[in-house]
Amino acid sequence: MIFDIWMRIAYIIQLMGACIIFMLPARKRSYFWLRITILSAVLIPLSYLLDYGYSHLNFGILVLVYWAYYIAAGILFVWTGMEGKWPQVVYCGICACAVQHIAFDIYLIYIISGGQNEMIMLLIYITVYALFYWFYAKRLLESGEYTASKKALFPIITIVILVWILSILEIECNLSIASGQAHIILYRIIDALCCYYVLWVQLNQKENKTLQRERDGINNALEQQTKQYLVTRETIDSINRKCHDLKHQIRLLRQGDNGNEEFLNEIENEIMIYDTAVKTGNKALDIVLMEKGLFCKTHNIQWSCMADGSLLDFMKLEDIYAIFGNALDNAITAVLELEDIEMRVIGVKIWNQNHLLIIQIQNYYAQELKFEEGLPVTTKKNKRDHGYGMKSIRYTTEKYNGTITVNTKSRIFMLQILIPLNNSKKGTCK
Amino acid sequence: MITVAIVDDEKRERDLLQKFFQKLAREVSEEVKLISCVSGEELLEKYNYSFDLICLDIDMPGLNGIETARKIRKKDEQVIIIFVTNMAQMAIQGYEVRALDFVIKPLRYYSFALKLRSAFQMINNRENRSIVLNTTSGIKKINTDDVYYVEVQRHHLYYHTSKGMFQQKTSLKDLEERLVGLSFKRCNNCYLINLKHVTGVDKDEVEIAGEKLKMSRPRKKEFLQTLAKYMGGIEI
Repeated sequence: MIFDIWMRIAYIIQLMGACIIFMLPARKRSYFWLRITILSAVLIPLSYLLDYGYSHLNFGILVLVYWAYYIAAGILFVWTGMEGKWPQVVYCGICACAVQHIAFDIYLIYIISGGQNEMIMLLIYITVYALFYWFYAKRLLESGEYTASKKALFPIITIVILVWILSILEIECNLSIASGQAHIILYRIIDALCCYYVLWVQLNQKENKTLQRERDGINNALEQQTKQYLVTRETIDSINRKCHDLKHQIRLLRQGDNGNEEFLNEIENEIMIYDTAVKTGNKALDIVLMEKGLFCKTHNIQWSCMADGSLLDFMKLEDIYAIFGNALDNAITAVLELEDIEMRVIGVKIWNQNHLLIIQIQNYYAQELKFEEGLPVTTKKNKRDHGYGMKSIRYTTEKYNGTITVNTKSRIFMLQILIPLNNSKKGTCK
Repeated sequence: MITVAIVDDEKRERDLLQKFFQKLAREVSEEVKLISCVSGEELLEKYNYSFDLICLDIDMPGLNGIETARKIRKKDEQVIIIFVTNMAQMAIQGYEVRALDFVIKPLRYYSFALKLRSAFQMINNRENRSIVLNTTSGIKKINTDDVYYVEVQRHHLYYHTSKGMFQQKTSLKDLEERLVGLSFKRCNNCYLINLKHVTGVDKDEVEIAGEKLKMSRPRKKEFLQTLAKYMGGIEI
């Protein structure tokens, strides 16, 4: 009797178990255990009744509904316990169904090959669930959420329908559904689904590869920039030291001799070019501004900067260097293309408004720009090695939850970066 | 119309700035009213909150530009200040008085125009209008500047304003059409936010008038970009 009851509710219990391993590491709803216990109290008797009816009545085509019920139950179970939007819930429920199915397949193989030990059967389920918990569910999570898009759901659902139909065909092969027209139609559906899946995998792989290449490019560029930053910092530090020494020496010379005043002034002015060290309050910003500033000076580019560098203190030095290095390089390249030297103007501004950090870089430009996904595409010939500048800026900005905006109007290019500043006093200010 | 105060002790510089402003005004087809002052003291004397923008020389006898800006900031938080200077080092510190930017002397038109175009757009982004609402408690006239945000609930709009809350039976879409060109943007299906009053942004929340409102994922990016445009002087 007990065994009979168990057989009828084994499926739902295994399924709920699989759902739980997926929900455990995710962000759960409050009263998690209470919620799922109540639902279990409903689902278990319901499944018993359904299974009872299923084995006593001839459902015909309704067997499909019988299996659909379990998928729906799995999804409902996840929805009860886990916080998340519907694609995530469906995704999770379907993954749970798949894990239960894998365990069930291994169990069947064991039975068919003559196994009878009930402990081993239990062990099979425990091992499969545990493995999937450690190596699948936990790794799939991203800050407590399964990142499931509607796009990713489509192939998953396809495959599950496929497995579902296959299982039905195998178990129901002696029922009417397996013979005649219905059988052939089902078979063709499976066939088409398989082919669709193969194609989808190809497409997906290609997309992944492109993404990977882009990421490699950005990382590569970032690495280069970190190296360059270190070198520049050293150079600029040593220039500053030398300037300081020279000024000191000039002062000493002045004290000794009065005849060469004019000559000494001239030397001092020469040195001043290097001594316009910008002091914004942030070391990395000072270095990048000085490096690019010197370049601007020697190339007749008018440039100005109004910046409270201390606002950037929460950012890593190499990130600051990456953002400004890239942005200023782009701006410099753009203004150098202008024939009218008067138009070679670059403006940099950094300010804080209502707990938002705003970085703005403006310049005139000559060539018409083409845009892809809101970012200008490189005007240089070699597209494979260039064009990571803008993406690198976006990548770095997004690391700090920021957004970048690119705008062109009246031959002015404007790059704007907006990053929310984490203010500890937030909420108290009106 | 944009009202600009030009403050410089040298006549030659004032005249040049006037010429530049007139040229820019033609280029952006904007009406500009120019008022000249010869010193910081004169500006403070004439000050009547009608200025949208002040072009302020730093190196002046008497009150210098930075000191003048400090005094103005005590009276007026909103007015846009742009320094004109031959001392770039000093202007970098301009953010202390929340100056928008600085222009370097000797003045050159393209450099001037680059900065002033954003300043003009910033002023235009701040535009406000009076609207008449047929609220559930009678007809009310309010200025859009007083509105923090509008919330929709079951075919009713709730205006959260500095003058209290008003209720109106209409759709958010109709209201959005009436407010076109003003600094309003949705962060969510049920909130229309006045960007002017945003005091902070979290991972998925906007802070406005001491309240935190959820941003929805599909609308977040566009909302933040519009906010950036509003603040940075790009046409919304």
